[in-house]
Amino acid sequence: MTEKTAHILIVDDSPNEQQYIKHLLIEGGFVHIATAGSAEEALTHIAQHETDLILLDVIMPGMDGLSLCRHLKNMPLTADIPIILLTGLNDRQARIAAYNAGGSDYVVKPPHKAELLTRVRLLATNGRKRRELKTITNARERELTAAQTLQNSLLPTRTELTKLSAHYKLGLHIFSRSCSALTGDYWCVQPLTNSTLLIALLDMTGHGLGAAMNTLLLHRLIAQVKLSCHTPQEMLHLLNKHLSEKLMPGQTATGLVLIYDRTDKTLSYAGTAHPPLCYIAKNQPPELITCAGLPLGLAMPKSYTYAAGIFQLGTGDTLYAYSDGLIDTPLPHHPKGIGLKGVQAYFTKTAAQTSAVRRKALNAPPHVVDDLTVIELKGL
Amino acid sequence: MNKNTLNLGPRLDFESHRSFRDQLTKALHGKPQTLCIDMSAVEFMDSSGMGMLLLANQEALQQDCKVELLRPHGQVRDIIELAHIDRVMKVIYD
Repeated sequence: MTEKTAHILIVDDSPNEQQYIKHLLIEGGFVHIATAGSAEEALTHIAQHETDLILLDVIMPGMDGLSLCRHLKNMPLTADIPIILLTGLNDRQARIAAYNAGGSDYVVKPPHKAELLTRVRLLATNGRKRRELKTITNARERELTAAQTLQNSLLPTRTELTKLSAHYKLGLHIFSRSCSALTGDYWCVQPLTNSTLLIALLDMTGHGLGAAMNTLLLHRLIAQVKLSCHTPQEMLHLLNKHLSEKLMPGQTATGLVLIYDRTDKTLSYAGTAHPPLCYIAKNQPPELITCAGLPLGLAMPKSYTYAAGIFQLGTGDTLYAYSDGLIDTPLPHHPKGIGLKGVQAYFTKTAAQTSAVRRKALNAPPHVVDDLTVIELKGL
Repeated sequence: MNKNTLNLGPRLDFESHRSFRDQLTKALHGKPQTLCIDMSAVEFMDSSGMGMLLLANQEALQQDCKVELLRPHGQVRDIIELAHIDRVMKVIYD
């Protein structure tokens, strides 16, 4: 495609001027040329047709060329269309007015053929590229929206979480925020048996589309392995086995698997490369539980031991699990991220507060630099 | 002993992937026996950065080269310790 196929609109109240300019453009090889006799006609045309470049007469009855130019530059859909202003005035004031109105170029009437065609060719190419870029951008936005919808569909709804919370007698609050359109954090809450509930949080390396695609893989793998595992430790081993076969080199995931048993209120866990859990027993200082270990996705022997354990989540006890986005989150006093020590200090400082107060603060960091998920479990 | 050093900037994250790859390719070009990755200037590393270190280690091992991470500190050290990176490559903290 060349600039000759660009869609050009001539806006001039004089039919003779319109025809003259159209004639010059046809001689220059342009094929898609439309005309409008007023600003209103031009707006109607632009709303209905692709337009790559506008040649706009400054002096017209009704809305004049400068007003139309300003109007088009203020509209998101037309702001990028290049506009050449045509005027009989050739003084500095007129040129400044044209550029101030948002015109890309300025041509004195009657236009000199070679001069007009040179300017039209340049701006028509820009206009066509702009339209092509917009088409690509729009398609990408539609794809991202579809991917977001798909990713969100993997997560339980608020109603489902409320039902699970009531059945398993476990307070469940989960907050997730992505640093880009899609998230590389994956979490799930799924029944295993009538008395046991699976809660998992995994964070893929990186963020954006690549990491988000891998969360779909995680979702499928968890569905595949969850019923054949009796412990969180076993589940991490199986997930690692599959991920080490399927992920690209350099791609890994942090992993945390929790199984809550409502019959004895026990919570068993296994974690790897994951930030420490924060366990706050009622009226006690917080305790950090390490989940350090090699990330999932590296070929490892079966003998490798993941950090694992079991404890009771009594009434009023709270457990926090979070992705490393919380460590990286910058706060006013910690512009480089609060770090593990900062997270630990936060939980210590707020241990006496209610979980609702803590939740509010954790859910509202000023901004995140990495995908962030925080899971709060509370013994009921 | 044939040793190359790769000096990293203040961030090792998703955005620095391409420059890291370029630096890595150059650093491994002379087939060194040891590749030192100097982390002393790195103030921020995310999970992408950790993935890049693991990738560097994997590529280095394929040509019988050992990787040493030098002087990670602060938040970067937290991430390295969380992920037990010292089990797959040498980490020198001071």
